Amino acid sequence: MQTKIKIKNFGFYYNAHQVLKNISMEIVKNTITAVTGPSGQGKSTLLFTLNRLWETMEGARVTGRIEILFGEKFQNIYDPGFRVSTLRRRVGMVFQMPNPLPMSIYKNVVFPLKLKGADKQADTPFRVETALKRCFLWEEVKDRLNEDARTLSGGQQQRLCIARALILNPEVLLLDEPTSSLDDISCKMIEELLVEVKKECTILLVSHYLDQVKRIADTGMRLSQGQMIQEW
Amino acid sequence: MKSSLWDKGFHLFAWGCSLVLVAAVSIILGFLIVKGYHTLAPSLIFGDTPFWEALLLRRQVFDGLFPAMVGTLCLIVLAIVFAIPLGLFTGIFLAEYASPKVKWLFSLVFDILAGIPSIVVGLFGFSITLFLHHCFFDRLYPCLLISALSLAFLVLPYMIRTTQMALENLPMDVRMTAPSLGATKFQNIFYVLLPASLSIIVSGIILSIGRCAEDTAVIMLTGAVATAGIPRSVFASFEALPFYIYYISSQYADHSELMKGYGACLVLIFICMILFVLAHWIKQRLAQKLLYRS
Amino acid sequence: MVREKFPKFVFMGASLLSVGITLAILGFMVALAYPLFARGMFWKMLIQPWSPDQDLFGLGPMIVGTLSIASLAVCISLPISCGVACFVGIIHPRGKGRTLRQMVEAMTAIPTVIYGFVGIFLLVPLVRELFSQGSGMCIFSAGIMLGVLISPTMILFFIQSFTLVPQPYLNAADALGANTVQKFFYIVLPCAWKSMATGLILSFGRAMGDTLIALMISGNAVGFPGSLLDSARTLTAHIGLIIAADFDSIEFKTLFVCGICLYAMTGIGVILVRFLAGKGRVK
Repeated sequence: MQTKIKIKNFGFYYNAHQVLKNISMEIVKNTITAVTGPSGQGKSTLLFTLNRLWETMEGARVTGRIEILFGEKFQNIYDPGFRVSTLRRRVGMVFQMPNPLPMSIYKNVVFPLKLKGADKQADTPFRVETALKRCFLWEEVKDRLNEDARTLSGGQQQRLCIARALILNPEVLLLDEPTSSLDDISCKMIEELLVEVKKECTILLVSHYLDQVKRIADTGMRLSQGQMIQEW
Repeated sequence: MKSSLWDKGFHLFAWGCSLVLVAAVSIILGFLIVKGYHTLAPSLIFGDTPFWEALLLRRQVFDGLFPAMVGTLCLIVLAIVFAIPLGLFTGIFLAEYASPKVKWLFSLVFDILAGIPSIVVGLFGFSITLFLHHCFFDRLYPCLLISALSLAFLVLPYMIRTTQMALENLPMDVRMTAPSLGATKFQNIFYVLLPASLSIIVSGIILSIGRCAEDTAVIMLTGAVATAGIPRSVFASFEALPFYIYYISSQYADHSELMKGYGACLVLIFICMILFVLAHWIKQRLAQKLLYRS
Repeated sequence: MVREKFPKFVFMGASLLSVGITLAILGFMVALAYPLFARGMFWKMLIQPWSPDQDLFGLGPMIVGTLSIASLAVCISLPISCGVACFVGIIHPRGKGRTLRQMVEAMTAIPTVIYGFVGIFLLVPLVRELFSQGSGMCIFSAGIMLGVLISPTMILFFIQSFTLVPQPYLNAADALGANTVQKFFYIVLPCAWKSMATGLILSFGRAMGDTLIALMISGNAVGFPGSLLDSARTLTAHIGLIIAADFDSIEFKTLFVCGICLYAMTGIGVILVRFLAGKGRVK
């Protein structure tokens, strides 16, 4: 039961308002940790602190420390020497509303590789196929990889976004209410794939759906008024 | 009772003003069309020279608008070549890299640049020519290059503002997608943000082109003359359509020259309208394509 | 890290260049007008008349000319722009309003020189006939044409100001049975007046900075104008006319003083607009 993420005395301030208050928690490797709680009280913010995406917003600041186990050592992700783009390749994120880029399905999945300069290698099509297969999307799109990604249905788009986040084999995957805009069947598919993915990945899932949480999560946390409580 | 009277008066006022405006525009355009339509023929543009030879630059056109149109075209191309990169990069800096204080200050400066009368920009171009002439280049006179540079200064604030607004108005989820996948700021700008703003930026470029095509005050001071033929190099004087119209209005020698002036007005309006419609169309089409979501 | 800093420096360099150019414009004007500063003539020049024979190179008449033509243009344009903006923004937002709006947008593409040309050959003879006084090339003619020129921009600005009014307020007004004029004066105007004032200031600046209409229609006489039907010269037209003079003469140097005046007027306008916008930032 190895710890993957250590959050120590972490606080998040947006302008004058304190959104997260002194959060300390540990997340176990290769598990699905679900975060529930009332709306607008910091669940998405918590995810943003783990891949430092809050730094694109003005007026936000943080206190405290977050360490993630990369390889053998725990790395302070807020260390000035640690490159943010490297962090985001190892800590992937899926948003609440699917956000495919205005490109073909293939190009969407390949995009993270392109950012690394590694999109024209011999094994790239294979990696794309693997990522899409992990998300149960390959069969549905294999004949139309060059079509615009926005022609897919909502559920397909979200699975595409997950495949895109997975292509770099991140060690941590952050999901912000990934199924809240989807129908039942898509929901079930995504839950299934998350259970598969956790074998190679540590998953932090924000969700409103308590039954979903009960179905797939190993640990449940509740975030209320900026404070974190472990439920089970 | 009284309030409905006011209401009727208000409606009447609005209708009245609209009719006045429509009438004004119709009279202006109508006047030009009525007076000038019979000059609309290839001879207006090419004079006595057969148009093949004129287009291939084998023979000079003396009586037609062709040299002025070529001059205007060269101006536009040169000005845009200077204005696009400078404006684009400055807009990107303001939207993506500048701190709020810097942004406020620079925006103030560019608002001033946007408000400077075109003749002052022309005067600046002229002063630069003077300065360079006295200090470095004895043979430099007001010319195509200086005019194009001055026009670039004229449209620069517009390019900056368009780029800046386009980038700043992108929704948060578009802005965050690439960074969440490990993109650096520059990669985000280059691969996602700029393509997403392309339609607005392109239509801004086209409107800048329109501004270059119609301006008279700047080129009047920096190298436009009444007869120069096709510009032989960027350091030569040149003709331009709007300047031709201005020149004819006060220096027309006879009736046929005046008629050519009317014809030139129609040609210029036509060009400007085409550019305007093009910019509008591109904004609509591209914006639709990029915004399409299933 | 270097690769990430490089684009930032390129973009910052471009911005600094752009800022530099703007400041250089003022700088050149001041430098070239320096002999006049040195002789302490600058401030006097702004009120003196222009009479080279008497060694007077004042820009007083030109300043009066600029202000009067621009003011007339704004006086003509303001009510018309209000009316059209109300038509398009409030009374008929769909259908007729949309068509009119497209026409107004197309109007912004009409070059100034066209207005000048039509002014000379249509408006000026008309004014001459109508008032049987003078040549027809006067403040009045220039003011009318200029008014038509600046109207489309003002209209579009006003229409945009109206969209700043929050829809819930309009819904409330409708539900309480307000008619159009009441909605306009009680709801729209209080919300939009600041933005409309900005549009007004910008249009006034545009009117002051226009060269061709003034150059072609206002007559370009150098005396202080006495009435609307008098010929006048603007600062902008003055630049266009004197540019052909000898470089070393004082006349030529007055052009740069003109430039400084116009630059200063622009600066004041921009600061006023900022001030207006800033006052609204109480939220």
